[in-house]
Amino acid sequence: MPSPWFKYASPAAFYPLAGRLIPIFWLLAAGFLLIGLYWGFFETPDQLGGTNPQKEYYRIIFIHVPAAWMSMWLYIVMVGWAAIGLVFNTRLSFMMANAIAPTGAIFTFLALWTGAFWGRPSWGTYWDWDPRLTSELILFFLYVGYIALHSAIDDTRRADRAAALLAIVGLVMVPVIFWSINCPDPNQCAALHQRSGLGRIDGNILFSMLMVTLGFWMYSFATAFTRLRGIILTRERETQWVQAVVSAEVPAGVRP
Amino acid sequence: MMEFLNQGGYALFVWSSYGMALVLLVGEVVVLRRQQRTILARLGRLIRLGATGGKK
Repeated sequence: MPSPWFKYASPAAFYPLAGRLIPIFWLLAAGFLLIGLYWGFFETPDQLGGTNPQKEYYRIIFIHVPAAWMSMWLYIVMVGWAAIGLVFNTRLSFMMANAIAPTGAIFTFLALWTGAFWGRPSWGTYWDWDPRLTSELILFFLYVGYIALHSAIDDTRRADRAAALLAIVGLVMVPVIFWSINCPDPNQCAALHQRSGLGRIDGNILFSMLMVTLGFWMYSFATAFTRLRGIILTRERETQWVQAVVSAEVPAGVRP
Repeated sequence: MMEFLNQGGYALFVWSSYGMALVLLVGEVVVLRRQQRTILARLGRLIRLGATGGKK
């Protein structure tokens, strides 16, 4: 049964589609980020909270929380493609997982880095072995491990399978990060991240956070698809269509 | 303007965070573009080699 989903599961069909989508994702990313950052810096209060308020440094929230969300979401998506690749043995799925990993690692590092610079003024320390910090750090190592394991195995198909298994096992960290605040009263246990909910955040702050999250998401599509196109060309280099694409794109001036 | 840059005295923390975000995200795009050019150039060479049967 012909369906567009199966049609675009072929690298040859997805390559041009990704090429057409990338500029759209760049535009969306720029738009959402501009709105989110403008709103975050100019339409939000200078302080967060009533008693013992957080001062201007709380504005790190507008990249910290979106980066942390993207780090978990991209991992879930990466594992999804890796699992589909393992079950159905589809080439493009593994390539997709490969293309997502570096962007996911960058957002994970960004969440940790911005968290350190938020922690210093609010908790008095750049780092603490708080459950959420620790589990996010492990997520970062999982991304790095996935990339390293994949590049350490020469046979691409074996590399795909081994790295996919590692990613799937590591998925256990995502719910751990998400629920790593089981400390209702910070006076009684050590949890620097406290329970929160979308409904308890000021509307303007929430709006900025969501806009930046959408911007990061669109950015992830753009970079992952760009990387995916490179992976497709490299892996399918023996095929006619790749040779036609490369011949058309490499400038004639470099011909010997 | 100065007031905005100062961020209520927390400029170091706010701009270190946003600066790193800028560096990483822009850096990723720069690296990606470079990789893309390298891949195309390398595959182009391979294809030309194949077309001439390895002969110069």
